[in-house]
Amino acid sequence: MTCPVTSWVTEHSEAGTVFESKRYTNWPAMTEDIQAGNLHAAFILAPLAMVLAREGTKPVKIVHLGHRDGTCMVVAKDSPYRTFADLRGKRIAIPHRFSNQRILIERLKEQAGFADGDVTLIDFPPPEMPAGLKAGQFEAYIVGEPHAARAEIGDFGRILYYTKDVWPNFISCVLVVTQELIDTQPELVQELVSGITASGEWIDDGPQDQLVAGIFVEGETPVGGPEPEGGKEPGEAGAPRTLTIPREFGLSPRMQAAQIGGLYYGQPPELLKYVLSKPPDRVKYTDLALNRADFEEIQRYAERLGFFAKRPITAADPFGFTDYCDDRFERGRARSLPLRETPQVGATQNPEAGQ
Amino acid sequence: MRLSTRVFLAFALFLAAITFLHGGLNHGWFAERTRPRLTVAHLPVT
Repeated sequence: MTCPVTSWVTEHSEAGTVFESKRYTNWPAMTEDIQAGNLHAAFILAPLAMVLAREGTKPVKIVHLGHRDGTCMVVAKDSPYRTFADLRGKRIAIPHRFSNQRILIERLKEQAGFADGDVTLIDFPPPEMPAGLKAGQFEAYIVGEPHAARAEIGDFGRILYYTKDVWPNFISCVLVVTQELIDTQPELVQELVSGITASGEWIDDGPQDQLVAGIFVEGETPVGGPEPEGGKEPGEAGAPRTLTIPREFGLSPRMQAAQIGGLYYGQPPELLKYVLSKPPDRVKYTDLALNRADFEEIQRYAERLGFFAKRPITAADPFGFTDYCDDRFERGRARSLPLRETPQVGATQNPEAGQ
Repeated sequence: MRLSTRVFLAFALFLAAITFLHGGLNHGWFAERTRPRLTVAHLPVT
């Protein structure tokens, strides 16, 4: 969510770099574009970023996190599975073989005393997982939101685990940039990292009585462009320049983020509202700094699972935190978002109703 | 002032006005597009 918010904010600022959000539906297409030199910044799975840094033709570095937690394991609502141990012999869909979700499964397997072949893991595109569960293609799936909530809201899925309960501060996606971008335009990377940090702080801790630029309350006259049209990506010609939120939807930063995210993700804002509020700690957007201990744990599992098989880590060819992370941009300048006081137009209803 | 001088001055004034107007419109139109841009990729996950 920090990516769409940063993109929205820069589109609605008068100066500075415009960060254009580009939506992909699967990881291979995104990594191909990075390796081809057509893409220089992306939110990708943490272990996949490590593999790209180790083996990729286009070196990348992790410069920040996108969020923490926000991943769930889902089973069919009427299934008998109550704990991970009940999934022995079953099929579990994962977003990618180089994902932290796969590493979490390994941790759960250890805790349950499973052998290697006790569950079958299936690579599956995240947006298609709810349909896969419904069709019986697997018994459980683990994925980042909102694709777990979709099964819950659709009334055919049940959350078996929130990552916050089994691996607190879980890292799913990280922000990577190419080494070429760091070398040639470090100020641009700095601006992006500062923007992601500011967006995360606003979503989690922002003032409850202010609106971000480009957002209006129902009853106000939007200034700055036409009302949203369907079918257009933000940034495209004819795409929405403003958003009008009904007061009853809620006007807190998380509810504004749900509306913005709805545009960029092509998902209903009500679904994102659910993700951001049921419960509120389902996903977090603060504490996004790169923590060495977190990454060393991920790396340990990644090595054990053979993620670096193409170029094994040896004493002669080592690989560590500073080879795949560059945390200098987190110490850079802070950035603030363009906010304004929420007007009192039609303020007779409870502004946070429904949250 | 001779008529030819007046015609010349009027034409020069006309050209100056057109140039100024064109420059202003051009700047207004392209100012947004001259801002640096960077594409950031993501999947539709929170």
